[in-house]
Amino acid sequence: MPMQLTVTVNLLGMRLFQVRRDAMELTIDGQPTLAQVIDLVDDQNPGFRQAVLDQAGGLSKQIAVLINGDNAQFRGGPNASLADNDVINVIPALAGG
Amino acid sequence: MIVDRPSSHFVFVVPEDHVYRRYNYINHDGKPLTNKEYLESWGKWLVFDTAKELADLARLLDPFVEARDVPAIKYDRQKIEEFGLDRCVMCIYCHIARRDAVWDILVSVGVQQKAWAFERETLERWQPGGANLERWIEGRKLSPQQADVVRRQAEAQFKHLFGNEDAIFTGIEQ
Repeated sequence: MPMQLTVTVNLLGMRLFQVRRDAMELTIDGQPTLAQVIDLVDDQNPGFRQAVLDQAGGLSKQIAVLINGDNAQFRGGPNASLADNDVINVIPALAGG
Repeated sequence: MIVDRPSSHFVFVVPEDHVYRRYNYINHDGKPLTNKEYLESWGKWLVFDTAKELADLARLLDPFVEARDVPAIKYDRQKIEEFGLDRCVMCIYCHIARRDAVWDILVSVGVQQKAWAFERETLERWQPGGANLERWIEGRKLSPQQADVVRRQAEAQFKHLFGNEDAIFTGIEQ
């Protein structure tokens, strides 16, 4: 039976795209990466993937993605692996400047 | 104490000793940070909310700042529309070594969403090519020549502030 993980995603202070759902609890099979979560969030918030990723497929400089409070850039960007109950907060990178 | 000058976009919460007796809250265990230490280890928790909610939160946190359990706080008086934010932002500053202790304080007053940023990340965004500086330039519709001047000034200011790694960090005017 495949392992299932649950992660929570919160979109905080966003205006870079039309947010339909700003808080999501996602249940995913196996060992998900941040990239898989981005795809799932995009299903519920069209435009999210485009806002979060740059043209090379890395995390955009316009957005900060935080895994349990820490910048995902320091954990491998879209390739960051996730654990059960991780909380992913997505904020405009311009915040707090 | 809450320092609320209407002429400033930001409202600050800093120890009274900082305002009246030049106490330097950018320290670790009482020792002021050098420029190098500041870039390596100073950061902030970010909280997003309405201006009113942040003002209420500032009042709750003020005693912790006065007790020096939280070094300092800054928050938006109003939303920064050109930055694409739909809420105001509060920055709760501390040394990385105090990060978890400060987070516990934030949880005790009702903060739920964790978002940490190092100051160096913010400073990088105000360098040429950085998201903040380029958005600022775009928002003011500067000519290419004017934009280059602004970029060179930003670069020069960073070198001026942080050129000497071992000097005590003296702060950034806001």
